[in-house]
Amino acid sequence: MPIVPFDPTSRLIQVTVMVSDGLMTALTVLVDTRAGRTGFRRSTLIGLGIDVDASEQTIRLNTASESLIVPVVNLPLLRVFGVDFRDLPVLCLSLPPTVPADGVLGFDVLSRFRLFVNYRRGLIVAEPFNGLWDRAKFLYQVAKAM
Amino acid sequence: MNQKGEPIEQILERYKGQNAFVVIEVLSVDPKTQKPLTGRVIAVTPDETEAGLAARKARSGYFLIKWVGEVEGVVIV
Repeated sequence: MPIVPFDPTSRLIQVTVMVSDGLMTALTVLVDTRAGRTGFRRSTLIGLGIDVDASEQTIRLNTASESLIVPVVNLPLLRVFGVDFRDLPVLCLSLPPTVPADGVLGFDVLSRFRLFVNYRRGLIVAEPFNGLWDRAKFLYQVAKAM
Repeated sequence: MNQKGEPIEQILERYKGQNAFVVIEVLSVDPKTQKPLTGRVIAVTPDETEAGLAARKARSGYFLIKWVGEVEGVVIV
């Protein structure tokens, strides 16, 4: 996975992921190291053709400011940093419209990667835990992103 | 996805400050990054569910839902 740039002046780490419910669509998401689960906006999931109101699974979501129950739906395909996640259970989030993203990447996805963030340069390096070769690639990319 | 359209940035600029979701069907993308370049407006609505339903009308299957309103000073805790 190449080094992924982000805008450090936005004070958020925004990256592009690909999702699919047939055709691939690019979405902007926040890398949120404090979030336990990955989730997307209600409008985004509906737009992808997912019936969020028919979801039989819900979860109590505890955030820093509130506690609420949200639907859980299966996303057919999510491609993050070049890695495919199939039928990933994701949360249907009521993100305020002013949040400039379609969703958040949480621990369930981020924990599959070694991550390095250079906040000053606005660079993120992500490599999946796939063995020694990927570890070596990760270290090489980190050296370039320093 | 070779159809022409209006540059996405130009579309968003036109609706800037309306405090609504602009739903755009993407008509062309950057071949390297797959990021959207041009598109056409499908709907402009303050209702999020309505925006999602409108996005399903994107014949290309590739849509964008963008909030056009105040975004500065967002703090997420």
